Amino acid sequence: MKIRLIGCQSTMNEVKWYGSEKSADYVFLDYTYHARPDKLHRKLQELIDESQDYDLITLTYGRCSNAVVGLISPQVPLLFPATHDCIGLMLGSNARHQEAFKESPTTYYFSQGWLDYGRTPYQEYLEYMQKYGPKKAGQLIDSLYGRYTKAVLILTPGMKDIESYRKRVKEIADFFGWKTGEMQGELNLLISILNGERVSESVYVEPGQTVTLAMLNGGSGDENNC
Amino acid sequence: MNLYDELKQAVIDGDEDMVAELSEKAVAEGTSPVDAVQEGLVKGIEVIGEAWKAGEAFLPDVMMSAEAMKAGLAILEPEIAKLGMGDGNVKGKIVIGTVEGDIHDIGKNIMGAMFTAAGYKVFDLGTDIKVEEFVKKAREVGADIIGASALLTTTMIGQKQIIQYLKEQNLRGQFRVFVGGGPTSQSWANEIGADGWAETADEAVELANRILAR
Repeated sequence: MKIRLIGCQSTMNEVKWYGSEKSADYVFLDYTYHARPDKLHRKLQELIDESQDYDLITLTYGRCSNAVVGLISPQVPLLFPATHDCIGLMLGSNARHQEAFKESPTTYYFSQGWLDYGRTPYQEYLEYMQKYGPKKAGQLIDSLYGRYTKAVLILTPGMKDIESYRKRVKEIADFFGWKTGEMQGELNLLISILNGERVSESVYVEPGQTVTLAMLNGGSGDENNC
Repeated sequence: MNLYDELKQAVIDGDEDMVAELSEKAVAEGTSPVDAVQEGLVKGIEVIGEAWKAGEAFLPDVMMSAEAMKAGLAILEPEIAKLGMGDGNVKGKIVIGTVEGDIHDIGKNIMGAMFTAAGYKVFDLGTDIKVEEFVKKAREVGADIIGASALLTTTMIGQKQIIQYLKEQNLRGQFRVFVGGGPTSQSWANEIGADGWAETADEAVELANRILAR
């Protein structure tokens, strides 16, 4: 089976760690699409349209601010996780993500990929400092991140030099005055997607069907899952 | 460049201090505060809003322009009130907040500033707001609209809960409920029975104008 994988840099390390025996062709999109669901939607649709000669198109994107809603693949089925975002995907399920979220809605999660390829809140602060000066940088960063209270590093298999990631998370947390914590990742859901396997927390879309909110809700069976 | 254009430019530049200085100047010179807001501040924020939609402006630019506009409003609003265009003549009252469990407040703040500039009285509850708090405040101030923001697919259910709660309390007819935020959409608003949804703050204001004029 020829699989086309369209992924986000946030999960790139885990995808590459697992590899794939099924000869998937990878393409990874820049993490900055995270903040622009409209642009992400257009980019995903463009790549799906270009990938109509595969047997299956898989995404490592979940709902991601509903960027996947409305996507359509004319000839090839789509498969992607029904999680809200990459945090749920890294933690293995929406249920686990929700549980952690309820416990502390003011937690900022860091994955390996976010630290490697993304822009951390501290890097953002440094950029604003340079561009706008200390006063405005302080105001901006406070509006953006002032309400978080904790930084949690998600540990996933294949992470090399965990200490360096811990150190970076600690640096960021210290700057903002956040507590730190860790959670063990769980990659079964991601792996099933990479293998093209349909599981209960994935969404499989027949060719020619449009991705709807109802399909995303079906994934976990959680009625609160809007 | 006249004063309105200078105000507009200072908002575009996100220059809070300059906006404050120009607003003081407008007051000192006896310029109409309503025009200073509408022809100056609002025109500036519209330019930035358009640039944001086109992908030409970045979030910090929009945030700073909104802050600059707020600095101007803080000076010009009391002047508008003095002209007898205060509370009694406001277009409407809106209670806004971000739903429980959600601490994103930038979009909500920008919306609040736009509603203020458009002549509404805005009551901003902040973020992580429980359903009951929205409704309590709306009753207390006699709000026309409750505006609930959600930026996460995990928290947008809170918008639905506001509508459910209003129904349970037999208050649904008293308030219009507007919803917004990244993951929300018109179809979500329809699904939960909200009265309004808009993609941007200026569209939300236009929608409120239309709905309340009915």
